[in-house]
Amino acid sequence: MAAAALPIALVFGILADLASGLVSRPSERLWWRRVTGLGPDVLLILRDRKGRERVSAVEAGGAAAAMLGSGTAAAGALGVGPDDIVLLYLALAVGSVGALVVALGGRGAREARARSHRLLAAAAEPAFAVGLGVMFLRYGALDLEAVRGTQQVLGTGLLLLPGLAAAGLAVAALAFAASGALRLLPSTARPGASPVAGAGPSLLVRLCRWSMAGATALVAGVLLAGGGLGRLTLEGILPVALGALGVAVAIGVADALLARLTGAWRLAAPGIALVIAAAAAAMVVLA
Amino acid sequence: MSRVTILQAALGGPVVAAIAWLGLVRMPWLRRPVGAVLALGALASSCVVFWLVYRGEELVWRSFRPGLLAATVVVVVELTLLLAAMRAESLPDGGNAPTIVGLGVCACAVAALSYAGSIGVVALALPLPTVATWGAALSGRGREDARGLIGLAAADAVALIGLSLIYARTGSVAVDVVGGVGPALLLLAALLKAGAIPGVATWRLSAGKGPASWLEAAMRGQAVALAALAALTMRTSAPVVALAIAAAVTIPLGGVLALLGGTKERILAAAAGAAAGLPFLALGLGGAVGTRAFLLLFPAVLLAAALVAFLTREPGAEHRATDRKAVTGAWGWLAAAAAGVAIGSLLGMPPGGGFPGTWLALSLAAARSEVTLAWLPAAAGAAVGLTVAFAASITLVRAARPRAVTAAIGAIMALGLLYVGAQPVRVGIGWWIRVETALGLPEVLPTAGAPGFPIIGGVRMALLLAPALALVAAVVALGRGVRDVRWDPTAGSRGEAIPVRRLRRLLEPFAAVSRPLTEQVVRARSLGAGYGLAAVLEIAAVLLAGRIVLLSARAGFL
Repeated sequence: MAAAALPIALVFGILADLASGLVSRPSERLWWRRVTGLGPDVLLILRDRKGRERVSAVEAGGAAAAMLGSGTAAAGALGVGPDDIVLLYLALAVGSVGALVVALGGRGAREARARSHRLLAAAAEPAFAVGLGVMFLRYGALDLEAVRGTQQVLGTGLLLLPGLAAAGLAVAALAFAASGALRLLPSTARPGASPVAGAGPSLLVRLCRWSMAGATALVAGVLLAGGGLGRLTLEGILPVALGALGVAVAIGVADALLARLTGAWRLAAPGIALVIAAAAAAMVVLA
Repeated sequence: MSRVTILQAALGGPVVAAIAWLGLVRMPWLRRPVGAVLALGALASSCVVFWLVYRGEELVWRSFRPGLLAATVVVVVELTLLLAAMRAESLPDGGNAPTIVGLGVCACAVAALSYAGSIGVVALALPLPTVATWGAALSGRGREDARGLIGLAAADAVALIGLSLIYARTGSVAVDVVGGVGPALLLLAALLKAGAIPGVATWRLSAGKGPASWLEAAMRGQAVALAALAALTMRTSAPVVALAIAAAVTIPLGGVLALLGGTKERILAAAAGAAAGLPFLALGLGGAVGTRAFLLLFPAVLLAAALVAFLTREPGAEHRATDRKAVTGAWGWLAAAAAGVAIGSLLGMPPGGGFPGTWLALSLAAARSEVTLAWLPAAAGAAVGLTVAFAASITLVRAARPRAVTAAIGAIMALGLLYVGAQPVRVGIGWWIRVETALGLPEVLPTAGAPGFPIIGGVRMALLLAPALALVAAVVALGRGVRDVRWDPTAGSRGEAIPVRRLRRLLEPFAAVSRPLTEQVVRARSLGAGYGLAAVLEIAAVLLAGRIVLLSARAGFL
């Protein structure tokens, strides 16, 4: 079942990208192009005679590392792999850094864009870590198995009283999703934003984005709603599917909104996410 | 060969190898094989010492009585210094001779410090690596190396004051359990020598390009030996809050500085500094779990840091243009992959060799946070710092040397690190339980609520990796191969992040005015004040060491 984790994460990542396209509609006429743009990229690679659209070995290695990290985190979230907080966080970090390796292969303006993105992703790390930590803190647990056990006995995380703690959990998930969106590579569908040149690297960027967004959504989804692939029943699968879908949409919306931000507002976004995460921590602790 | 001879070979072998290499200067076709055979012989001797001690045999020669932890430290340090020597051999302008002899002296000093059962021998061996660094620094053209020397001399002085306090408290030359300030000072010196404190001592040394910067691996090794000595003399199960806070602050600071580092050396120094903070965080968190995390971390951090430097650093600034030829051909890709694994292992990312120790340290921090929320910033700060340092230093994979021998050695070591990361229990359980028993620590059992390991395992790893590799292979297959890339990882302002570039532009007028003055001041400081201050501190340390040796000689320390 561990092999199924990455494909499942990719599906939720695609949903996040569709949500992002839908929110960015005024600037992107065809909102579904973020997903269907895969086809033209494949055609470009196939027609390429001079090897310009190929990926480099380092980009391929980076993408493999990114998907391994995302897959490990997704497997943990789905209950088919190790699922404690430290491993989940570090696996998501490997996913994020592997994607950076793909992006940092460009030159000139693209390289500068990729380095700016790296700074932004690094600045989003504290909010991401605090958001994840607060969601675990809500359950007083250090692994998802214990979280699932709590939810089986007491009910879904968002409905678990006291109300302030449930609200803290939701706010932490919001900070986690927003900072998760900041860690995603810029979409190649937006003209002038892509950090890479060529159809091959563009394909890898798409795969990295989807796997990262999907893995983030799955981890937060389980913390919000429980479930997993441990029991292949509707009661087991439905909560994680719904939770991950909700978080994927949130990631997509945050990604689209962040793409609209420019200058100082864009630089302030990680700080705002951290403030939200800190507020969530205060709510959970006070409850 | 008798047991005593093996112990002597492990102790003195590295310096014999270095002297033989130096003596054969007129026979370049002979010096490399002879030096290599002797160095490998010394490494093999230290491995035999480890194996004998692991089997439970007691090796004694004068006051040298290696325990299992000490024997492990020596094996790891000699291996890392061998890697450094292999690359330092091609240092330009005769800088290689003092560096390689310095590496030999350092290896012997660390071995003596680790094996010693007497405070007198520890005091005698302690300043030697810094003195060897002096030799290498003075042979270099640049003055950069002098900056690290002040911190290293200060670290020596602090460690020797700590040793004096331990000696004064116990009144015995034997290394024994003692509380108080003595072990704390040893730990402070170890922090400095590990390069965990930004901008001073080993950090500054390794950020330079001169011959002395190749001795940074020796300093990190000495730091581990000092930390092990402090752990031996301290033996407390309570958290050492000051140490944990210091380490927790240095890790994110290292990450940020790695992100802002302009050169390969600075990025590597900052990333290695961030990683070096983690074993100390583990020690600071205290208890048997903290010690186990330290035990799992130090070999991985030392080996991975040495491997990254081995694969990516160029001896001397003159060779930096070759960076553009990186990541071409099969050997280049192999070296880049090995460098990626080594960087991941250094910063504790799964499934690298540093992951089990990192996992244990961060899990312990998280577990302590559940009880006392004040530990939460330490846990989160360390995790975030490691991730940021990883993001900053991963670009170094593009600087991996595409030479066959380098790539092959790197690949073998990277595979070893991956194996340790995926199967920590299979590799090390017997070793760490014996070391913990020797240290008198309580047994850590999963049933007692202490953390176990997340079993990633080979099969699960393959299952997770298969879809990722299949997707990437599909993209490569569509393009009918991979693109050849020539790229400089330390490119100038063109590839700089936009906010950093803006900041630099803002500061440029001020920098232009102050640069000539600053350069003069820096030159004067590095020539005169820098070396002068370092010399004063080192002489003070040596005098202190002499006093301890004299005092302990009366008790017959040899």
